[in-house]
Amino acid sequence: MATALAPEHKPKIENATAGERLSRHMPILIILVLALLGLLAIGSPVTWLTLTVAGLAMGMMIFIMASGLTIVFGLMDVINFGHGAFISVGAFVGVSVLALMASLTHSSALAANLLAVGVAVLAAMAATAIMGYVFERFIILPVYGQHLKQILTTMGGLIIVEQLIYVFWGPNQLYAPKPEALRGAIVIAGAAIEKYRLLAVVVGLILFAAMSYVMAKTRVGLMVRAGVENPEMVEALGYRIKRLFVLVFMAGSALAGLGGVMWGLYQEVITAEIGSQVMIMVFIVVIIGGLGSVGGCFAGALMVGLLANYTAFLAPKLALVSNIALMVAILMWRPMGMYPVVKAK
Amino acid sequence: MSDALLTLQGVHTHIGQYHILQGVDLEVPAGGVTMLLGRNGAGKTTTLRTIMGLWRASKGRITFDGIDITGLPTPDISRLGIAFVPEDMGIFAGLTVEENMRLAAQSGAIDSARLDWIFSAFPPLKTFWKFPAGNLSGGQKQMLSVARAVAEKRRLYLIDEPSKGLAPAIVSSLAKALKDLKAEGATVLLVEQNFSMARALGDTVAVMDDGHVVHGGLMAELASDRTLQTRFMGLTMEVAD
Repeated sequence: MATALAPEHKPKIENATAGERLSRHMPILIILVLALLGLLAIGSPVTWLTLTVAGLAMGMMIFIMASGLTIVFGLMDVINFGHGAFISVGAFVGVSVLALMASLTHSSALAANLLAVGVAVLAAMAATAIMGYVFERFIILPVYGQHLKQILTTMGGLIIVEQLIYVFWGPNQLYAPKPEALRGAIVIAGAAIEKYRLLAVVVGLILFAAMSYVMAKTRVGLMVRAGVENPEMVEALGYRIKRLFVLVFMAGSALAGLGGVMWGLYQEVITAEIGSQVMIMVFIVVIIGGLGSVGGCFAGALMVGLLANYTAFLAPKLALVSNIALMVAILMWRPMGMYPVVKAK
Repeated sequence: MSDALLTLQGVHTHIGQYHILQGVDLEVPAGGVTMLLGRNGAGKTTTLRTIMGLWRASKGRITFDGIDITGLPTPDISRLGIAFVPEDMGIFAGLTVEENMRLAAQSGAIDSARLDWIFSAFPPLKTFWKFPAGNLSGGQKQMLSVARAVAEKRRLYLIDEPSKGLAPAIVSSLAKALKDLKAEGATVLLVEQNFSMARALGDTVAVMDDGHVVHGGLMAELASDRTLQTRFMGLTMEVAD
């Protein structure tokens, strides 16, 4: 085919200004400033290091729990108040599976412990993915596009799942001991750092890297990012977005299950409400990150984790208020969240 | 039966309580450009969206190459070989130009000769290949929207007002690209308000009014007959060449 066509076009492409570059990376800068302010307010570098690692670990676990929800929010436009149910079920399944592997969890070998945790995580993720499929088909499907009904039905789903946990595991809370080699702390620069928190940081970083890769480099990621913006056009290009919805919902549920196991072992005591109790922080992270944004979710989770730990040390009564205040401040600065992906619908 | 690639028979479309298409009968012959003309609100966009399955026909039948596609899901209709350029362009602003194009290639990769043609037709797309599509100008976004539809050879192209609001120079490059498509034997159903472009590209024409097709025939006939133009569209197609 031929030739000479559009008007001659010689755009001048200029490098982004320092201000533009700064604005793009502002959320990262805020995290660093937050850490610096924490150091100044706390005074002791050793205490600060302990609190910072605790904050990062908490942030990573919140990110794990919230990462699925933000994609579900962004792609499917579904307000899922039932997400906490997957966290609870993940915790119960994971801890129950761990209990079956006492020889591995009581071993002082780290590899044996990690193997046990890995199996427990896989079991929890499989259980919550299947549960996610059922949840999407029976609870979400009838209410697509109807936000008020979504809130009501998913809240109902959450209550049903919590009651089912009582049926299967009984009414008492469950003790969730950490495997032997993951207990205790190691001393780094004079600060006692819990080993389990370091594991949480590593798992969170791996998950973030994996999700970033999938979203940026794979065809499924491309479809999800396009679907978050304009699902109708994705369908017109020949892709079954509704099938993608189911897969994304299952993946989001499985990630909540993973988060449930991590959070359960962190808390060491689990109840049927463990998921719904942490949902306030999960929602804060999803909202300040920007619906549908994995990067925003990650940055938001780190901010929430750090701020919660610093304020719990400096002014314990302000711990929860501080996160709400953070959300208000972020939304006043960027009303669609730090990395907006979805336009207002 | 004619050699129509696409046929609409008595198609009705409701959007909520609005009865938009009220029995559309239309035939799009294979291997040519059919212009869909009519004033604003006549039902042109609704016709294209109904063919794509984005709005469901409440009555009537749509057949594509003999296959009844009336109730098919949109992705299945697309995979039969129908490309769609919506009126609002439908580009993914957060994706780069390259990612927009990659997504449009159902086979997974764009043929390099095809991509060369696209770049020669729309040079700005090559310049901004790695840039977010949201940063493009209106004309460049329209180029991307058309380029995405032609990323792979399709059997039918549904294109909704590609020249809307664009500078004449960009309109001429779009028209040139559509002429190239026509030359490769593609079938195009084109909604257009730019009469100069309609006259230059159209082989056949259908004029819509109030949710019906009120006239169908050869473009040349309509272009040369002022009485027909006044009767069906309330104006004439006199343009400066």
